[in-house]
Amino acid sequence: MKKTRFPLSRRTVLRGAGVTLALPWLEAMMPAAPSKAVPAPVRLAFLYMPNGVNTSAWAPEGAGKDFKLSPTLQPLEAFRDQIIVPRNLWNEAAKDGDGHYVKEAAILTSTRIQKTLGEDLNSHGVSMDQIAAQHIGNATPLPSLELGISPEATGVDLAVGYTRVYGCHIAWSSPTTPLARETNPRSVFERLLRAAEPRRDDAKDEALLLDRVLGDAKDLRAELGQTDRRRLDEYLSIVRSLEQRAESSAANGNKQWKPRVPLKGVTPPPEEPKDYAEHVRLMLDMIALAFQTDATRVSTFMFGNAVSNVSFRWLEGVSGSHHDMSHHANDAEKLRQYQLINKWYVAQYAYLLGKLRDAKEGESNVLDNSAIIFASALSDGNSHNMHNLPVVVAGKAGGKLATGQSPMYPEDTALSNLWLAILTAMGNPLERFADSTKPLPGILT
Amino acid sequence: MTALRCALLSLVAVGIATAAPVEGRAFLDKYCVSCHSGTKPAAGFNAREIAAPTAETDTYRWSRVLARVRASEMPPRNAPTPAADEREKFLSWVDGGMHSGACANGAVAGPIPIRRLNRDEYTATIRELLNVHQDAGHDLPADGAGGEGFDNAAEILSLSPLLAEKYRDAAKRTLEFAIRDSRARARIGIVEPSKSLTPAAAARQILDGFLPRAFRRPVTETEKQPFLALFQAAQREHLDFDHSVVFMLRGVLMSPRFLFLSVPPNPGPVARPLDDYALASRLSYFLWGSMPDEMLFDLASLGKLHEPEVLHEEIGRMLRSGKSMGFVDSFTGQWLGTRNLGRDLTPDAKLFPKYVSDAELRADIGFQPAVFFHTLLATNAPITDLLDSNWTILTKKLATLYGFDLKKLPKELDEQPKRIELPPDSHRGGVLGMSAVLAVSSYPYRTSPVLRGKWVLESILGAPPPPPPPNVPTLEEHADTQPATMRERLARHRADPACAGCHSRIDPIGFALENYDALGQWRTEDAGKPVDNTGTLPDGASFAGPDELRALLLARKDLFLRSFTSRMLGFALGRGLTLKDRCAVDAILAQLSENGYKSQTLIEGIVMSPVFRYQAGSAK
Amino acid sequence: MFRRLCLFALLASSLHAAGVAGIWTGQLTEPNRDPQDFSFRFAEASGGVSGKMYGDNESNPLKDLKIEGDRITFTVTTELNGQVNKFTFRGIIRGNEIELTRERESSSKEKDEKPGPTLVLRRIA
Repeated sequence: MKKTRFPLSRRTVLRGAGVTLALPWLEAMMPAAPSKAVPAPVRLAFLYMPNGVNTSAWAPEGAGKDFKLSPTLQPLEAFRDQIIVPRNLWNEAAKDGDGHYVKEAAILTSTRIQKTLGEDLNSHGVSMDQIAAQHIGNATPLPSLELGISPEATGVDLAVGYTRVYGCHIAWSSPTTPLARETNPRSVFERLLRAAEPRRDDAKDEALLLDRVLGDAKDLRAELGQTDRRRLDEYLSIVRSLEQRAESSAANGNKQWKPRVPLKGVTPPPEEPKDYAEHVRLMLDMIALAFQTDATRVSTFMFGNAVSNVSFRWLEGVSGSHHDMSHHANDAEKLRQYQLINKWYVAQYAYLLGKLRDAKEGESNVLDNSAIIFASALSDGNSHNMHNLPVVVAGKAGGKLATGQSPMYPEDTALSNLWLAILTAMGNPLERFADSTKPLPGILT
Repeated sequence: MTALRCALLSLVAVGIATAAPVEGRAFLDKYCVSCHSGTKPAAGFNAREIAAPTAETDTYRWSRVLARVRASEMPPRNAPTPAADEREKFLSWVDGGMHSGACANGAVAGPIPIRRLNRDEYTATIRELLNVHQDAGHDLPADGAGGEGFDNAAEILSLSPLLAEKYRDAAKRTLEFAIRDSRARARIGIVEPSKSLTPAAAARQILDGFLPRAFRRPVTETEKQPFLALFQAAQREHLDFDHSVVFMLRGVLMSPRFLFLSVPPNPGPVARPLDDYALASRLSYFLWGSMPDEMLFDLASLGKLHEPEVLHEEIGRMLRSGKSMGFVDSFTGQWLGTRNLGRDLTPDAKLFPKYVSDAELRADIGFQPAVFFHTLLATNAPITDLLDSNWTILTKKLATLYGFDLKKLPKELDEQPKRIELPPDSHRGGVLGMSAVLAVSSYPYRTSPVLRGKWVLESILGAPPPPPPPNVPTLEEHADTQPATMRERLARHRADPACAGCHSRIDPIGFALENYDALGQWRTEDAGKPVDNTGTLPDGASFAGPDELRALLLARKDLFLRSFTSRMLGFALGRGLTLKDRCAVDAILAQLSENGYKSQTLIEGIVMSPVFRYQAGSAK
Repeated sequence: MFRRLCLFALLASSLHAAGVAGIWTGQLTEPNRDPQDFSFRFAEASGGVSGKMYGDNESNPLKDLKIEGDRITFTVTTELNGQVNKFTFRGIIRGNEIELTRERESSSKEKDEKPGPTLVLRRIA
């Protein structure tokens, strides 16, 4: 019987929330023997902090090998010899356009993104991490892992003329494909589990299922008009890559890839972290786990979306929220709090570095075999300044990076030169990346 | 030279004054021709020679001119800058020229691009299809927004590799649950093999019932084959009947015919009506955010759905149904930005402990705007009630939050949302009296007249202020002054001529709302001083307090109605609006004004418009 | 003669039966309550007339459906949150309109004192 009462009952109104089915995903794990003879793989991670920095407290004192950590970079004390703090980098292509989006979306693409409210979303480039993933992603169950804290922001920003989609993505696998991020720590964990232990018979069935789906999809594509076919092509492409992974898993089973450490005994994280700080830590834990197990070797993480206005009132000495503090208008109090927020983020970066360093691998550790980058797409958040971007690179990338220095480059050196150098360290034979002129000198061994 | 960049804002205060063609040309000569002329004009745009803007000539070029001048990108900052009213007159000349005659034929059909179900639509569709009360889309990544600001816009619904994984997992998980649930089995139409029914025949029978519902239209024999093949493959692997059926249906839920809303192309030169099944889906994803129900399918199968009388009935039925919450919740949450409440924006725990600790209050605050709008639609109340109303939706906790004397309200008020007539001077009419709206246009720990003013301009009037200039100049600090009130702090905003142009239009609106704190509670004091809620716009219009602001907005309701109708149309069409769609908006606005601005007139106006029911032809 | 009468009666009722085929909708009005939407579909098959009542979740078949002349009765059983309700509808068919009253069958087997609410259905398809 239809009950149409206006207004509706609470139950009808709230039923949209639904019930999350809690299935026991934790199948019995077979501990896999860590591979000894194979040399440790090189990993790449990029941690993105929105809203820029208090520039007077960011830059290290001195330069070159003789540098002192600034107040904001203090949490990296224990890693001083494993970091590079390049100075005077800037992202020229992102300089035109208002607001945050044009700069933040392009941090890893070094391109000028298309100004649009959505109909022609285009970054005009593949992001640096995806270049790496295209090169080495086949060696792992997940080609790359995109993580975040806040889901997509709603709406379009009519004031600046951009869709907010741009502010929520830094990884682009193609100029028109921003990569969705996981924001639920439990989901990430379950994905890593499943990636680590694919069952051979499941994989074979899955390959068959996807094959049939693709056939049906191709029929539909033939019925559609020209513009609609492009969407179907996107669909075919993602299903095909899923099919390929299932096929190779079915063909090889556990022969070619094994997790480097077993996942048995790892406590699954909660679905809903109790606060922002815990959420951040859990996601960083997942990056560490992914790298340790070798489920993937490429990851990007967004501490927040562009223009993030997370409240930092729980942090001692801070009474405001992030974006608010970043628009300091030279007010001393706001600048002080802005710096405390920056420092907290650097401390989270240090937390991840610590976990990676503690993860022993053969004679070294995961940090030594990685390049873990921390950056923001703005320097001074108040003026949306992009010169002298705040960037830190940590880890030796398997011996390819010369760490323990803060090289001072000429003013407005291309950020893409750094990305090119990092890709080179990852073993990528690329000669140019976006608007790069050459790999950033002095950081490759 | 400071740039006064608020052409659109002045529309709010002054009213539109169109320039004569002579003045339009004079503007081009004065500000554009120096770069945009000669044999190699900048950007290929010859301002001296281009024909005057009309609906047919150089529309792309003029659209670009309109966009760049409106955003103050042109003339560039290092060139002489037009005064605000000069710019505004020029803009309305271009806009008016492009628009006149464009709608001689009334509303015209546009394109219907393919679009995938977004996360909420996916969840609702699975729930309806399988009758499982689960959040199937829980794990899917959230969708961004595009078009008129919604997450169902075709252009923005791209596909990420992560999505393929998630669809695969969601289908498997949900079907494995469904096959063991008696209600779901009944909804799917599971029949068991028996002596007179082989497994293959049983599977076929199940598919015959399930596939047309999943694909939302009748299916051909060819379309069934891939899925029957999956059943057979599973049987060959010695999976039992139930698991073989699951395997078959997993394929269906991965099919793009399920995951996408698509219409075959119209090869002919003229617009043609959508077939009844496509119309059923368009209607249900608009008004319910989910697949058609049995009655809609039946009407489509009889070929009757497109008849005006039937559509009229169905619209009323669909709006009165609880299922329309799928639409209302999504639309209001995105239009008002209240979806962000509790996500990106949470009121500060120390200042507003009850928000954080009382889950029921939190839910009440969250659903008040949506339930209000649902009731408005279901009872066919006027759209203008969104600006100010003599009723609202309350629960006991909301009434307490808003400081009502409970003894003066109906004693049945409890935890259920109820439609309550507002006592006079309640200050709670329309959306501007709602906690969710007032919280989402504040910081977590304090109000901001700038944020609230910007919110009203964007969400209510559709006239967003231009962005602040890059490298916002630093304000001179006076060490001796200690500003205490909000007004004093923001006064410096407006004393600086570089900022005053826009802030003199944004801030006053926000000040009128200062009686509501960051959670929307009523206050007469802030930081120990009485709340100063007065505001004066540059044209002299002045107001004190939210009630006078509401009256001002009602006096400008045409701006609101145009903005709101355009947004709703964009949501209904699942794409951003084009220039031609404005003709449809014009027609709907005319209907609204003839019908007392009734809300169902708006919905009917959209559904009955050719823009909704027809598909453009292929001729250019 | 008897056969012809039967044939005639059958024809008459089947004419009326054919007359109800289609989709009907209307609102049930009760005092002090918001109107409720009701929709039905009747179909004619060789075995006679059948019908269903559309619902929020699923449609419910009409039982004991009888059409005699212009009079129609049927019962419907619905379930909501585990509670089973049986309703009897009685009414008159007038071309493209059916006027019905509805009675709830209460478990105590006492007849409801108040007259049942009315529902006027119009054929829309």
